[in-house]
Order: sequence, then structure tokens, then C-alpha cells
Amino acid sequence: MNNNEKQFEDFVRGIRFDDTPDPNHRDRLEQGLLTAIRKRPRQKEQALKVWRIIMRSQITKFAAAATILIVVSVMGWFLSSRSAPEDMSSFRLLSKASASEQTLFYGAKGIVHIVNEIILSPESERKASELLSDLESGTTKDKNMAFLKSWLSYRWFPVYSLGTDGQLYEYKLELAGHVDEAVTISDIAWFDSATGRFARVLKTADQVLFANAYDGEFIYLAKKGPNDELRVEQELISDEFHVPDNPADFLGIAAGIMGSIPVEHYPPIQNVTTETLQDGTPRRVYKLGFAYPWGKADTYFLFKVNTDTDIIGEIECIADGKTIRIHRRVVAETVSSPELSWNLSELSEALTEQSSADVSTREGAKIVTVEQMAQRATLAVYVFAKNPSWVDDCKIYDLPDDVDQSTRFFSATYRAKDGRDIVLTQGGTFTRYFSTRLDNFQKVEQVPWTYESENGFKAFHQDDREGEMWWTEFALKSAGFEPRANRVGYHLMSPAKTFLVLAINGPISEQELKDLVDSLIPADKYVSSSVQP
Amino acid sequence: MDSASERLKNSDLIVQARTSYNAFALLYRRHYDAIFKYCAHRLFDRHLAEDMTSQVFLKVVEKFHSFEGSERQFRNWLYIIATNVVNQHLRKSARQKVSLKILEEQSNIKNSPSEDCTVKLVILKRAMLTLRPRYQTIITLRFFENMKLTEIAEVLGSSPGTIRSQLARALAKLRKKMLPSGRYER
Repeated sequence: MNNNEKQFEDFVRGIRFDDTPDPNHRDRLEQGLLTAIRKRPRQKEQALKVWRIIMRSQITKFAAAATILIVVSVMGWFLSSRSAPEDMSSFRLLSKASASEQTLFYGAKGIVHIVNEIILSPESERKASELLSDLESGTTKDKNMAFLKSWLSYRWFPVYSLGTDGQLYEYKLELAGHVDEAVTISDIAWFDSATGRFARVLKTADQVLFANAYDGEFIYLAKKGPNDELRVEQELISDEFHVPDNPADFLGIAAGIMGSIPVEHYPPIQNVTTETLQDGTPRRVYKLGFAYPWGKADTYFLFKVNTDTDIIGEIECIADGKTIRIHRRVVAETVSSPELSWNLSELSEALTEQSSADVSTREGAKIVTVEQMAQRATLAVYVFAKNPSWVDDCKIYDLPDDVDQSTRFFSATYRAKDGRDIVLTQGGTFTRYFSTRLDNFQKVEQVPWTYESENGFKAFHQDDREGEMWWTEFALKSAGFEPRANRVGYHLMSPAKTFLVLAINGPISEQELKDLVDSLIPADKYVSSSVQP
Repeated sequence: MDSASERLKNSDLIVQARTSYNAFALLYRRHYDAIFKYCAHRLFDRHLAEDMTSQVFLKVVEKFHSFEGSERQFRNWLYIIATNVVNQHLRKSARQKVSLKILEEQSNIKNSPSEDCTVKLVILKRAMLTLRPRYQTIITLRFFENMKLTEIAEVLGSSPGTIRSQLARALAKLRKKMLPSGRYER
């Protein structure tokens, strides 16, 4: 600053002028602007472009599948046997129960009142994050298995909110790190089948965790505020809004489970038994497990269906022999009026007074842009600088990392014109985990790289065809593609020593593989160079 | 970046504001004060500044669907709109005189010559209004909004070097306008 500027600055400093904004004007203008916005015709195209929320069935499958995909793809490196998915027809045994669940909401006259109980158990002896750190300090087979089992355990509870566009948004309820005892959550909902209005709140004894409602005009959602406090936000429904045909998709007992299970990848129901409750009610118990690579269902669900009503009474999730989550129906009745207003007005004051919760709520999977991926990523993430000539559509999924909440998973899916769809997945925990395997892979197994690119990427093609088929099928189906018999998969190590998995839904030539790998660039570089896909 | 508040710190808010009234309201609240102050420092009139601020955000509502960029770019966009709105206001022939007259009445300068800071304000205002709008803008952004040259360049779509030279010229002209009254120095 030169002398002239300094003198003027001093002069300005000596001026007294009240430039304090008037909060009244600010608030009045805000209301006026919001009114003006509501009166404006909606920019549908723009709205779709920036507010792309995909249907629950797709995104939640992806969310559930991503972690498994990543782990399984790594498992293939050192496990020789695995069980492939089998005939899924028996899964439909549960469909009748699911249909009955739907009748709860539309079969009765009046307002349906549902109360469910969710019991979340803390991670057992050691948390997945600790087990990963332990693994990083020195790899053993036992440590490896302990971490994988913990990683794959389904400890969070998926919850859906209904958005202003009529789509469902995924959230995860999970115990805070400091909690070492099981926490019971009440899931209370009212649904008016005549109008579609509903109010739902999930709470512990002294904490509201989540709330969502629709009063016929507005959607209400309890969201975290600037200081992490929950507050109810009100938003006008859009032109596209409609209440889902099946409210059980987001209010039902199995909403967060049936919707999030990548059904195609489940083994058949392993067995069906019967039990009788203390009050004499008989029910069938369906056991449904993951087809993990090590060939047995370490994590599985027990669906307990009341025999007389065909309605699901309880869903229990068991991991490594221990119950980690129970979702139980407590009340299903018809009432004349809800105890909670359709606009959640009773909650507004209570929410601001909350202290730190034992259970946290965070958003699940969502679609992002390359720029958003670059901003959200805590380590180097990559995209193709130029999309392969055979693809014409790309979506990037941003997925929470259940081991380390400070990092994210990203999965880019490319729909192909010729059927050779591509899925490229990368993430923080994956990189940390894979790094622990690298020495073993190179020194012990002495597996050579398939291709080393000049851009610093190294690609490895899994020799084990069965394993590759498994995880590529998983990746492709999760992204909504129909896997082909000739699909292929690769593991990639980036110049920044991060790890990616690449699944391609069909054969590619050596040159096409090289072109793909050569084309990978950091996402931030992609953004700054404005390279168009 | 798990909490909603964290996420709303980045350009997600821009994206969300396209379809979410709450997100738009949050975006508005984040920038209202800065735009009001900028208008106030350009006009030294609170009521006019409120009018200008209202116009700025109404234009934002009209054009927001066509805006594509980060929140930082959004801020710059707001300053551009505010600059245009204020300049348009000042261009209306009678406005400058009216504005100055109002200021003089408000400050009661004729009856309170001892109010040195108020006198300074009137002198500055009078001198500023004789400058080209571009110079007014640069001086306001630099000395009242405390922006760096690079930030001003970003807002005005120019290079920092150009802004530096324009700032020097603007100050030289301003000094010339103010010196006869002996009020430039403290």
C-alpha cells in the first residue's frame, strides 16, 4: 500500500457511518424473495440437473453394495474359495410378508399409527477403525479377517426421508463412538391413508434423532444446523411430488432393510423355522445371509413373520454370531388423530435444547459432480479425462465410509452404448486396507502388474476368474447394469498410492485398457482444466 | 464433511438452493449483510442501500437458474449485480444531487460543523460521486469492503495489475477533488 492509499485509508477510518444491517429489512426481504421464488414457474430442467436424487431402490442398493464390493474385490487376492450367488427364487418367500406390510398403510380407514423399536448394539470388543489401524501396524491373517468382519457388519440403520420431489433420501443412524451399550430407538409414525399426510419421529429416551413429515403442502425434515443441533426445516413440495405408492417403502418395518439389500447378491434363504412368542403367537423365521467370499454367512438377517397375519414382527441382524441390530414392531393400529402434528410443530422447540446424542444421523449415498467429488475427497481421486468412446453417460456416487467417517467412497458408473458399462470405485478406507495387502501381494505372491501407464497408474488383472466374476457382477448390478458373462475386472494403483477397482461389462482390448488407464487424471485437475466428458 | 452444516459450506449450497427454499434462504442470509454494506458504502444512505439490496436479490431470484458456479463465484456475481444496480441508480440524472442533499440534511452538517467525522463523510461522498462509477466501485471495494486487489479483479473481471493502476488513478482524482477543502488528510 503506497502513501496515498495509506492516507486515504486513515481518512476513511475517521468516518463514522452506521452501516449495520437492519434485521427487520433482512427478514422482510427474505420472505418477499421466497414468495417470489414460489410464484415463479419451476425450472424443471435445471432442477433435475442439480437435484438428482435417484430412487431408493437403486441408490440404496448401491450404498449397501459398495462396501461389500470393495472388500470382496480385495478378498479375491488372497482367498481361493468363495461362494457365488445362487438361485434367488426362494427370496420371494418374504415378498408376501412385504405385501402385507403395505396393507397396514392402505388397508385401514383412518390414521395408521406405527411404533417400531430399533435396538443398535455397539461394536463389540474393538471398532473397525481400531482394527484397521492394528492391521496397518502389521498384517496377519487373523487381523485381516477381524477387520473385514467388522467392516462388513451392518451396524448402521438406514432410514429414509420423503423429499419435496417425492423421492426418498437415505440417512444412516448409528451409535456415536463413545457409546458402549445398546441404545433403543423409538420409531413412531402416523400416516393418513386418505391424504398421504404423515409424521414420523425417531428418538431415544431423551433425544430426537430424525423427523420427517408431510402436511399436504410442505415437507418437514429435522436436519442438523450450523452448530450440529437438529432443527426442523420446512420446504414446499415440488410439482413432481407424490406420496410413494407404497408408504411401507419408507415407513414400514423393513423399509431400511429390504430396500437396501442388494437382493440379487443374496444367497437363497438358508432355512425357515418357526417359533412361538410368549403370548402364543406363532411366527416363521427366515434366515437370510450374505454370500461372502469366505463361503459362509457371517452376517445375516432373521426375518420373523407372524404366521396369522403374514406381517413382519421383527428383523434381527446378526454379525459374527452376535446380534448387532433389532428392529421390532411394537404397535400397529388405527387412530382418529395423530399425537404429533403433520408439521412437527411440537418438535421445533425441543430440538434446539438437545445435547450431544448417543446416536448420530448422517446422509447416505448421493450423486455428485466431479467438482463435488474433488471437494469432498480427502485423498487423491481420479476420473477419466475423456470418457471412453463407447460410453455416453456418467454418474458419480458419493458413499459414506463406515470405517472412517472423515473419508468417502466414490464410485463412477459409465453407461455404455455397446453394453460395455464401466464402474470405477475408490475410497479412503479401501486405500488404507489395500496398502496393508500390497507387500504381501508383490513380495509373497509375486503377481506382476498387467500394465504400467506413463501417468503413474499400475493395473492388475485378477487371475482368479471366479473371484473376478463375483465382484464385477456385484459392481455392475449395483450400478444398475446387467452383468455379462464376458465381463472383466482390474485393480489399479494410482501415482498417489491410492487404490481403485475397475469393472467393465464386456471384453476390452489391450489398447482399450491402456487408453482407459492412461486417461485417468486427478478429479481436481479435471475440474480446473474443464475437460468435458 | 458429514454434517449438513459442513456440506453447506461448499458449493453444494448453490446446487441445493436451486430447488430448496431453505437452501436459498441460507444462501441469502450469508450474503445479505455484505451486499447491504457495499450498497451503503456506495451511497452512504441506509434506506437507499436497503432498496438497492432488495433489487440485487430480486435480480438473483430472476437469474439464479442460469448461474453456474461456486459460492465464491456467487459472491462475486452478487457484487457485480450490486455494482450495476447502484450505478444504474446513480446514472439517473437527478439522483446524485438528491442523494447528496438527503445526506446533508441527515448529517445536519450546516448546523454542526464541529462534527468532524460527519463533515468528512459529506466531503467524501461529494467527491466520490464525481468519479466514474468504475472508480467508485474500486475504491469502495478496496477501502470499505477491505478486498484485496486480486479479489477486486475477480469481482470486476479484470487483472490485479489493471485494478492497481485504476485504483491509483481513482485516488489521485479523489484527492484532487477533496484537497481544496483541506479534508483529505486526517
